[in-house]
Amino acid sequence: MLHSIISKIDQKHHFETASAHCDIPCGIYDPHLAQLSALTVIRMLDLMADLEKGHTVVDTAFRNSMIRYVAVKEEHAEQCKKEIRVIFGDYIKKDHIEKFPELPELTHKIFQAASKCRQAAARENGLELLALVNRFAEIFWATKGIETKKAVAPYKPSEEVVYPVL
Amino acid sequence: MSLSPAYLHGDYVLIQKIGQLNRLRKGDVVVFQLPGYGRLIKQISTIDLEMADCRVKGTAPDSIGSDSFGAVPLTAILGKVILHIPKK
Repeated sequence: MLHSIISKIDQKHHFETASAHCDIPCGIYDPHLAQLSALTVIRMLDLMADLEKGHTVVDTAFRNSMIRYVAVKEEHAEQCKKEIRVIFGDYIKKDHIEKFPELPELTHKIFQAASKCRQAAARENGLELLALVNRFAEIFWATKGIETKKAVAPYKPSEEVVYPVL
Repeated sequence: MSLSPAYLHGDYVLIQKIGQLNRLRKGDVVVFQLPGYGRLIKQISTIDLEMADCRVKGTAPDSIGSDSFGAVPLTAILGKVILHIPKK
């Protein structure tokens, strides 16, 4: 009751705010780690598929390699979600969302796509994740007034990535 | 939120300026201005009257405080919380 009354006064008079920061507000935000994570997920999916093709026997060496690829895929799918969460939660402000209304849904789609990459081994899932993260990167740089370009990353899995034109 | 669960995002606080009749004590929740960090709200863990500063902390395990940014000069303190109106 009291909170809602004060909230209405706040909307009109804009009280000053104080932050109880958990993070050091360094102001350094960049979606490239999310993009690298998405590329890593695709690379692991490729290595998993190659291993499957090249091995006729499920032996210790096979299991060892497969487990390592899956572990890295898991880690980077989560890393991707974490990087996007930090940018969306800490950097993106109301006016960014007003300018790019697709942002909340796009962020949610990235989380879902990353989880899908953990659950399954289909390459399309990784490509979907990268496409969504690339779009997020385009919007992120646009909020800073920085143009972007698309180029194929000069390393495997050789997929197209959005880069800022600095 | 470093003062969670007592203080959460969206809560309102009323602060009173520090004076002779309103001295700071350990455990007070204070609002202060810190260069590079902005306006912060934390809890006082120790006060050093000789050095005219205090050390502050959050109450959540992952929060930052004086261990990260050092002691806070008493002159940087805008006031201490005398009324807390939680959102929920």
